[in-house]
Amino acid sequence: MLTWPALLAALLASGAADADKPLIDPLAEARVRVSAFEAAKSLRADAERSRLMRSAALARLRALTAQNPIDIVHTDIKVAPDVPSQTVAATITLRIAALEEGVSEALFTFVPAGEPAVDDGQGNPLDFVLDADYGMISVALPAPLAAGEETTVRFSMQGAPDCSPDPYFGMAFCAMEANFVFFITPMWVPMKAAYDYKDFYTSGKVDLDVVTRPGNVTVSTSDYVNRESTSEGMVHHFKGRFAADGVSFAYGPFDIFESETKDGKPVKAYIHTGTTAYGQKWADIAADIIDLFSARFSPYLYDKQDVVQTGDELGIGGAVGPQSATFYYAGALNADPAGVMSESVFSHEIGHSWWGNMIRNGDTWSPWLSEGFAEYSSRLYGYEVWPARNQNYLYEYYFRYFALTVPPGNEVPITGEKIYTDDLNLYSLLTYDKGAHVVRMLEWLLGDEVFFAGLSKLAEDYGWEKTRAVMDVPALAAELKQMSGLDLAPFFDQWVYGTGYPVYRFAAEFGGEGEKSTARVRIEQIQDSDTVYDLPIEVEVWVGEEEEPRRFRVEFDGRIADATLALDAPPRALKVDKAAWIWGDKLPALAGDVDGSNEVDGLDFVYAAWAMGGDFTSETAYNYYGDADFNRDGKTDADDMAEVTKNFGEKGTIND
Amino acid sequence: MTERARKVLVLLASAALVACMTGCYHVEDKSADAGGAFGFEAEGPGKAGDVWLELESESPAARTFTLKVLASGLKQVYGAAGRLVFDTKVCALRSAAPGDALEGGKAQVIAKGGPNAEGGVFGISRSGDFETSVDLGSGAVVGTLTFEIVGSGTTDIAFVPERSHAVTHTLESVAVAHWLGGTLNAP
Ligand SMILES: [Zn+2]
Repeated sequence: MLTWPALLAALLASGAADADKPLIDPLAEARVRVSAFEAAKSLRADAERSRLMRSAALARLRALTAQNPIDIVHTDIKVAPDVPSQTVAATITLRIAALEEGVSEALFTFVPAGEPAVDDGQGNPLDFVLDADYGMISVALPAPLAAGEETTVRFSMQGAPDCSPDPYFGMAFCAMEANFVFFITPMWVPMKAAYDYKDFYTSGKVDLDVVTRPGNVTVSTSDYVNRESTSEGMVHHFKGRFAADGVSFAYGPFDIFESETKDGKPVKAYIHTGTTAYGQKWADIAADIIDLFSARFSPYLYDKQDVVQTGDELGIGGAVGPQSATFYYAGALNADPAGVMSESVFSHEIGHSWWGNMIRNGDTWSPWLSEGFAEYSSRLYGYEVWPARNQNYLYEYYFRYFALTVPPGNEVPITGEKIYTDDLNLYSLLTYDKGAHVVRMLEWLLGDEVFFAGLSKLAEDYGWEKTRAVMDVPALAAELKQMSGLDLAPFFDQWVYGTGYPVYRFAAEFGGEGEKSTARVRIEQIQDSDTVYDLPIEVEVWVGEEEEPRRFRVEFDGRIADATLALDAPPRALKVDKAAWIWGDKLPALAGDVDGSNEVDGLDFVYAAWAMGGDFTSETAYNYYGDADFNRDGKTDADDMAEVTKNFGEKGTIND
Repeated sequence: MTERARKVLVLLASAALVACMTGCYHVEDKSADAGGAFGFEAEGPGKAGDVWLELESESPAARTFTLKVLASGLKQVYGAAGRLVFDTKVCALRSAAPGDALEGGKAQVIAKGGPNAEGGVFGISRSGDFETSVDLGSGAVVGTLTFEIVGSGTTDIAFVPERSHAVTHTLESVAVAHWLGGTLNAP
């Protein structure tokens, strides 16, 4: 059996130009299959904060129909973890402001470490009601606040923090190991409770003091100031420059590898365990990722980026992306960047600097606005550093995984209350994978120039630090409509507020000869639903001896697209949407034609013979080959081989 | 065909090879036409790195003949695919069968051959084990192709290199120096 490193080597080899290709190197995608499988698994494990905690809080607030008209204008944290006793001592001082007249109560999400005490910062206790089930605390303010008036609420506690795994993703967001401690968005830091994302974000910056034993390096989402030796231990001071509700930190015996972005912002990789051989490369790659997103989306606002190794508590493949510091499972930073997996996790999390942090998701019912965009960003970086077919295949893989594992009746719109299903597979496939694909379809529909200009404008108009505005689906639609002049309402109705996907069946006919060759293609939408998709579709034609296909954009008239493409040399293969621009299925009318040569012949037979026994959902039978799975049952087997032998020697034609 | 006639054919094939080595690609010698029997003049045998066709048997009564697909010195072969052009008024490719060259381990070897508009196509492949290929020694029999004579005449049976490939188990092409066909004479 091929081992994992051997598959990585094969993946790399697939990027090299093969001197003697059969036709279009049809099995390149089979070579990336296992990597794709791993990457998809890791992304499924990704979560930014505990969604369950938040939705519990949301449920609570909806039940109360309570408003919580406060802003947290400053957060000051002093925390001293004690590893031997597995406890923390923490004091968190919030400065809050009323957003309207007569605010007498403030609500926070809060899971304290031990019994909390709450006072006004002067030692005068404040009444509070702690609801442990929902992770909420309601604090009675000393006197009703006038609009704009500020007051102080201080929380003190000492005890064991809740570092149990998130029941949804199975990730633990904190751990106190012998010589390594991390807390990612700890729940013992009170955050504003809100019934809607539009009201969730606060303006306050976070100052942080972390007390450690000597000899540790500490890193956080706030900016490092200095450290001093005190009677309590070594105190590491951090100061926030940007609004942060995802405050996180880690300390340990880190080795640090330094790089910087093109505009000189420091990017550092922190490694405390395992090999450091790739630390410098990862720091450089993180800087490259920021440079790419800065160029494509908008300037990187934060002062730095720290790429931090944690432990296995995040689960293999798990990572979290708050602003200016991103946290990864241990193996990610120990891996050779030649492996595609870590790179895709880094680019996803750093993508959240834009999607979720600089541009905040104001739509509670559209988690894809942060996750789908972050995942799209990850693929975008992948296209920069890997052969395009690797990323294309990831898009195709996501769709196929969805089509094979989600019964049609179970699908829900990616925007809407039903998205918060308890089915993690469904949630992930829709929010991360279909979400990313919806962004990719917008890119395809609008074209790169208009699409990226639209995203830049969006970042300008909805940059939280500048405008305090949050993005939602109507805002996204309006910005892109303004930029493109296109009526995008049907697109959003079909892909965002609706369910289902197109199924295209394409037939080809090669004609003419020499410099007057043609390839005619006729594509029919055969999905069961009444929905007609008017997205144009890409047809790739391999011509003469050319290595790269020529690409054509074909428009639909109703359910049919029919185009005759003039070529100056004979076509040798044709494929429809091989780059997987569209979340949908594409089937050849000529069953048995694996490689798109428009004839079923010996090469198709060899490919189908190789793929026999391949199973899409298996990690071992990775010879599943999508283009040889003619009945789309997730297996390449005797049924598919029967299509090859039935049509053996046949050429594709189009009958009007 | 008598044993004597077969030897003549082998000799003619050798002559054709010499001729080709001096730069000619086409076999023009049609002298195998003898007394109503049909004959196949191979362009091969090939050398290391080649794939070629050779007559295995013929049945004048049934109007069929079988060609061996032979290869020498190819490394890491999982399967082989061929596209042949010939005059379809003279003969038709009816079937393909596996030889023993691709056997080994837990893989089965399967084959398919049949007609297409310009001649015939065939595939011979390992299956059921997607992780191992085999090295082919000298004159390895990859498979056989059975043709039917459907008319009279002479036709070259030639490979189309663009769609004729030996591939590895990672489905990359194995370099083949020459794909050598032959000439059928069916009086
Ligand atoms: Zn994410």
